[in-house]
Amino acid sequence: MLNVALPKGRLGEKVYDMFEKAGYPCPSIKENNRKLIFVNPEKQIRYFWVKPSDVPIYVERGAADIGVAGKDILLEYEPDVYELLDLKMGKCSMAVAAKRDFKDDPQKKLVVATKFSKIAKKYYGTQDREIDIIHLNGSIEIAPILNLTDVIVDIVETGTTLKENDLVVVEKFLPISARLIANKANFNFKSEIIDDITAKLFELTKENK
Amino acid sequence: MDNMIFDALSGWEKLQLKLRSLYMKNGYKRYLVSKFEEYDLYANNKDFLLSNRVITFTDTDGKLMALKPDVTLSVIKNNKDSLDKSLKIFYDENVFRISKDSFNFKEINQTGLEYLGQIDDYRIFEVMSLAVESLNEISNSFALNVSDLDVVSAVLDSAMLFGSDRSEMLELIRAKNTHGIEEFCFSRALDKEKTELFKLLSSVRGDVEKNKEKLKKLAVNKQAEKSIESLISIVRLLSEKYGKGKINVDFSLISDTNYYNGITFNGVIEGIPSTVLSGGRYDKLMARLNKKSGAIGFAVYSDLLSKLFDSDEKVGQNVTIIYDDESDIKKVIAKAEELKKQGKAVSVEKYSKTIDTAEVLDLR
Repeated sequence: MLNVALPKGRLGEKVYDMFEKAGYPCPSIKENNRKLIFVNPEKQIRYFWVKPSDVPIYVERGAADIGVAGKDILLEYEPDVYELLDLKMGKCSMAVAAKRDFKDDPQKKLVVATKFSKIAKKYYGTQDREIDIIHLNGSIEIAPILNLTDVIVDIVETGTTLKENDLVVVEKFLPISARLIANKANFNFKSEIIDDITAKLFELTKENK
Repeated sequence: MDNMIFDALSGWEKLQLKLRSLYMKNGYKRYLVSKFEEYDLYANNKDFLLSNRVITFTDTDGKLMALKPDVTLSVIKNNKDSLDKSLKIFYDENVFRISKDSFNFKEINQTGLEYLGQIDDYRIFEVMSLAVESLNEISNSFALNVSDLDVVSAVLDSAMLFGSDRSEMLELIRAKNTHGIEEFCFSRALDKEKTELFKLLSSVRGDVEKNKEKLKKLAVNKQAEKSIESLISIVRLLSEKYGKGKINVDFSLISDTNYYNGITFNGVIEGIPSTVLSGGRYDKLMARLNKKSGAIGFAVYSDLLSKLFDSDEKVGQNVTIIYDDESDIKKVIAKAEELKKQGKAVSVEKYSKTIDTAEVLDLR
C-alpha cells in the first residue's frame, strides 16, 4: 500500500486530480465529508489530507511514502527527503515587500517580518547586511503598516493581498511551486510504483504552464 | 544457551549478541571504549559526527571533556598506526547524541565494525558482507545501497564545480532532484553532456547489470573508470551471495567528502523510515588524524529499531501466588519454589490489583 500525503486545500485538490489522471484514482476522496483518509485497494494506494506545512513531516517520518509540498516549505523545514518532481502547480514567488513609500537605507539595520525565517536569513545572508528577523505566523502584511518592521518576506501569487494593504513588491527572489517528495528509506521498497507515478505525473506537468 | 536466560533478553539484546557472534566468527575482536573523550577530538571533526551537538563537562583537571557521541574517532585516535598490521574490531557501546527520532540528547546504542589497515577489494567485500549479514539479522526485508564518492567527485571535477556550486550540486544529487539539476546546469551554462552526467548520478539506481551502460558513461576519467569497475564487481559479488534486488547502486548516497572517499553504503529495513546502517571507506578521516593506514567500517543505529522489537521479555509461563497476613509463609515459599522448578516465572503478591498473569494461585 502506497501512502500519499496531500496538502489540504485548493492546491491539494488540483494535485489529486493529477494523480487521478495519472491512473491512481480514489473516487471516495471527492465525497463531501470530513474523512481524512481514503483508500483504493485495487490500486494499492492510500491518500490522506494533512496541513500543507506538515506534509514533509509525514514523509520524512515514513507515515507517508510520498507527498506533495510547496518548495517554500521544503526550503524552510529542510526535510531529508527525495524531491522527485516539480509539479509546476501552485506557482508563486517568495518576495520582499514593503510600504509604497518605504526607502531602504543600506547603512541601517533592516527589520524583517516573515513566516519563513530560514529562507529570509539565507537570502539576506548573501547580501552582507545586518538584519533583524521577527518570526510571525500569519497576517504578515500588517507588520510594516504598523511600523513593526521595514519589510516582509512572504509568498506572493497575484499580489492582490499586498495591493489591498497598500504594500508593493520590492523584489521577487525565488520561484515556488508544488513538489513531489518521497521518503528515502521507503523508496527502496516501493520504487516501482513511485517511479511509475513520477513518470506519469511528469508527462502531465507538460500540460501545466 | 539456557532457555530462561535467552528468554530474559529483549529483542534488541538478542540482536546485539547475534551481531557480536557474527563479527567474532569473522576474526573481529571486541573493542571497549570509555564514556569520556577530550572534546577537542570532536571540535576538530564536527562534520564527521551525525549531529555536531556534543554534551560536555569540565573535568577535575580543568580539561574540557565530552560524553562520547561516536566511537570511530576514538578507535582511530587510540590505534597505533602501522603499515604492516591491521586492526579488526567491533564495538557495542552507548553513545550520547541527538536522536534522529526525538531531536533531544539521548543515550543510544551503536554497534559497529572497523577495519584499519590496507584496504583492498577482498577487505571491502568482507566488511560489506558483514554489513549485509547485520541487516539480515534485523530483518530479511532489507536493502543495501552502494555508492562511490570518487565517481561523484570525478564528475564534479570534470564540470569544474567547486566551492558553493559543488555543495549545491551535491545537495541536488542527494535529493535525487533531477529537475533542480537541470535548472542548475542551465544557470551555470553547463553543456548537455555534463547535465546528463549529473542527471545520471541522481537517477541511476538498482541492479548493476541493468545499469551497466549508464554506469560506464560515468567513467569520465581513468580513475573513475577504475572505481566503476570495482563498484560493479563488488555489487555483483554481493548480489550473487545475497540475492538480486537487495543490493543497489545509488549515487544519491553522499557522505562528507572531507572524511569519506571511495565506497560508501547504507542499509535500510522495510518499515523503518530512516537508514539503520551506515558505512564506507574513510581514509581521509585517518589522514586528518595523521594516520597512514586506510579504514573501512560501518555502524548500526539502535534508536530507530525499537519499533521492531517488542519489550515482551518473557521468562517461562507466568503465575501469581496471592497471600495475605493469615497465610502460612512456609507454604507460600514452598509453593513458589515448586512452581519455579517446573520452569514457571512466579510472582508472589499481596495486592490482587497488581495481578497481570492468566494463572493465579490463591493461598489466602
